[in-house]
Amino acid sequence: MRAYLIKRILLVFPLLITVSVLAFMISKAVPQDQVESILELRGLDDSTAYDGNEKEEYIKVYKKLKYDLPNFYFSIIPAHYPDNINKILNPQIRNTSNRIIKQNYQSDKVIPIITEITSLQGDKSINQSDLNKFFRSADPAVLVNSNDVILHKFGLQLSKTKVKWFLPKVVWHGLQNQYHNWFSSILKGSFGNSMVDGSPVIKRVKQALLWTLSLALCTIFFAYPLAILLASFINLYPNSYFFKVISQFLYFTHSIPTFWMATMLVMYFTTDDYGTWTNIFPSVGINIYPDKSLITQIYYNSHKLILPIVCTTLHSLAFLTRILSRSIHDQLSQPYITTAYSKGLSRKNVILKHALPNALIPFITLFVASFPVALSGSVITEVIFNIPGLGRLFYNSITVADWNVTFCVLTFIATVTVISYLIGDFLYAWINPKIRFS
Amino acid sequence: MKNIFLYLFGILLFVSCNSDNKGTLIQESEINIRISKDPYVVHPILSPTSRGRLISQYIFKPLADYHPVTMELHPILIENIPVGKNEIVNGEKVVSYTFTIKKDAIWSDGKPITGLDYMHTIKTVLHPQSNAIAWRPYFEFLKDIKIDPSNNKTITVYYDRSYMLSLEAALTAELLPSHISDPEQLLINIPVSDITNPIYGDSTYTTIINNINNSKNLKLNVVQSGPYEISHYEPDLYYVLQRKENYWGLNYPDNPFLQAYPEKMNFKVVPDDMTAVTMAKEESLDFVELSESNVFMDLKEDSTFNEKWRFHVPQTMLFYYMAINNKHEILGDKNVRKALAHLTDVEDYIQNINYGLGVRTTGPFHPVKKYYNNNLSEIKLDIPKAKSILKNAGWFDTNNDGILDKEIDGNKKDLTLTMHITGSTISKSIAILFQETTKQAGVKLNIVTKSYKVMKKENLSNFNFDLTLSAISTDTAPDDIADKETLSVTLTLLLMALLIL
Repeated sequence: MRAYLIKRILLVFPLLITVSVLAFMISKAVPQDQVESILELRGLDDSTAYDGNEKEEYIKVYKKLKYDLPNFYFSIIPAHYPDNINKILNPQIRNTSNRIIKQNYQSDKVIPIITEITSLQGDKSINQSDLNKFFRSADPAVLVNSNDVILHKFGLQLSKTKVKWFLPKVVWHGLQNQYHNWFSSILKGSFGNSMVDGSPVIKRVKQALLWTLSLALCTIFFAYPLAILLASFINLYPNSYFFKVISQFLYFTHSIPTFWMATMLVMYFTTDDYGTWTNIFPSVGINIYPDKSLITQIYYNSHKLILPIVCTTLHSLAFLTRILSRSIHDQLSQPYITTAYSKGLSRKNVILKHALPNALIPFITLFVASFPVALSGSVITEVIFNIPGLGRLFYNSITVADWNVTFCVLTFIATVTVISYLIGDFLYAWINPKIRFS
Repeated sequence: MKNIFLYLFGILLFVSCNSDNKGTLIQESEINIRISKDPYVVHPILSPTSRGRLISQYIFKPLADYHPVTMELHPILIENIPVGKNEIVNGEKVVSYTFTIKKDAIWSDGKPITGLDYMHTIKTVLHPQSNAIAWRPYFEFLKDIKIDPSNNKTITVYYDRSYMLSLEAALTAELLPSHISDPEQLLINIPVSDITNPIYGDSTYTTIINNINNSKNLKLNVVQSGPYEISHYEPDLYYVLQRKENYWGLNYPDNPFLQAYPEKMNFKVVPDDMTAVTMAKEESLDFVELSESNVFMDLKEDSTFNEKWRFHVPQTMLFYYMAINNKHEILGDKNVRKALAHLTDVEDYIQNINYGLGVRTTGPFHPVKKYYNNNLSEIKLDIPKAKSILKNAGWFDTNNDGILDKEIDGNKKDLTLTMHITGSTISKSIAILFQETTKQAGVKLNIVTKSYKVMKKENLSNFNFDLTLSAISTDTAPDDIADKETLSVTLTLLLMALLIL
């Protein structure tokens, strides 16, 4: 058991590192330029191409963020690719070269040619129409077919750089890479500042987490005991009309999408639209108590959290009750239940003392999995009930390419997930000695 | 790209009111305003975004701004709008503007607002290390700034005469306090013509600039010239603006830009329209801006809601338009573009998609602007005419498949076009209606939905598109159609709405 424990704990670290590498690589693959997002926030229009002053500003931010470094410690790329295309500061040269190289042209020859071609922009002695057409298409044939002598010459030069063989190469970049910089700052405990407003990432995540945590814990607190209670009663009184109705109601609530349920709850229970008697709960949104701490604000807003908690609890309850009910039902067909009955135990005792504890074992997986799911927040619930939680923060940070915040939330959720499953495994072993880890 | 239709779209506002006394709102000590997204940065110089300006307009003030009703420059911190004077300075043809800052204009810490602050602001913008990149191009033609030695509130700016936006560029930037950011006047002493000199990029100067760049984070207790200050802020939750005591601008009751009615303004971040509506019904919001016309119209027709709320559709500077890629081999032909214009039923879009809440324009300028060309005629929906134009341009349905075709460079091409849209309700609706009319003329229209960021990277940036639906929102000042991000539409409207109500 101890050896298993140590082994599992040690496995957590490579798992988290893998998650961080994957998250980092995905952020690099998304069609969103973070430098552009930052420039947009500074008021630069989102014009289709940067030029003049804008290009200078782009390069300045690009260098400041150290985006000219390679992405990772090493690359496995085709032999004709450049070792590090990020070091080309000019976005137009970088993007055009990249597109041409991907068509299997030799990078070390393509990049100088593209640099020269880019410098011809605005030169009235050059056919600018063909030049623009080339930048749009990244097709060397456009230059080859051009009537402009200089462009035609460049086109021929480019055509000659086409490669015939596709050999892979491994390039070692060392510690000077973007991932290393980011990961080492995390190891030092710093997630940096938000790229959007410059505020410390940890502070923003902590604030959002408080709202999500209050929702998540309440949901877990209500949903699990209620699910155990309902599942037990459904099995205890299988012919009761009341519990049949409850069971059907749970099916119904589970089949309703969360956003729909949330909207319905808000519309029916916070306004007079469907009768004064339905206006039971206060309006959604959070009240402002500027002089109070965030925790006090959550306390003061507790009446406003009732409806979102009802929404998330109802949704979870339906699912959990169905699972547990089925699990108890399965247990009831086991031989040990027959033995229990033969000893003269009542159905109530058989279910509560024998079937339920055994049915709860697979429930542990659900229980531990519910923590990361609940903490990652539900964007929809948080948007509809206007709660500034972790889900909304995560979504917003992705849309504005605020990767520092995104990575912090992602790392947090990944860590909670890994730890939750680790705890789940130990609980399994503790509750059920039949499980052996060897 | 070429625009073939444009229309203005009103911002949909509803404001709480007391049915007995419709003027009560402005007397309320505290009002709650819905904003759909946290702007995160509230600094009109470093981050002139529309969302940020919605709040920053109450905190920062420029020398002058466009009056939202008359669309004329209106003095704010200065006495009067100056008149340009043509001069020759150092052999260069320049235009000079001389203006004086109001004598009682002071910062929130009581220090007077002077020409030094103006000079400091402009030089901050011009310094290459500053993040004020959106403003910098507007000062590219600035030749010099001089402060009257006898009155440090009187300033003369010299601009290249050829620059048509010189007056508004000179007046519409919000001022930054020099005594806070640059007490030793190091930036101020750099000559305008020499500001990009690398010697002014050393640590002495970059420290000042970096402090200003980082000042975007200092949302609270910022020394500024406007009537409000941010007293509380929680990201993604709210901004609380508190009115300053004894604000000097209240000495000018006729100047709408210097007024401050509610004691407190709570800007609540409510991303979802329906949530905002339910909050409004519960009266936890007093001022709501909606983006969905149908929600707005439903509420307007709700008699119960109507009793408590008033509805406004002020005109904005937001234009919806269809962009055509002129570089496209088919769309390069102006006859095809002309035919498409006759297949675009702008009136129908305004009436049926926006419930008549939009205004058609003939160009990318606001109809209120004095230079708006009223002589341009609108292109009406005319399918027979579109067919005839295409026929004359050589487009025929030779294979009877319902799609016109033509031989271009030896290849037979179908008149099939692709329209890229972002998937917003309005773009989807317009695209579908347009698809129906183009089909009647033998033009096949494919609709592709992508997120704007993806569309920008994959299609717009390399002109790899045929048609796209988009929107541009411009600012009233600087009056530059190319400057898409610096709009202050809602904010000005908000200000005016509070005043008018």
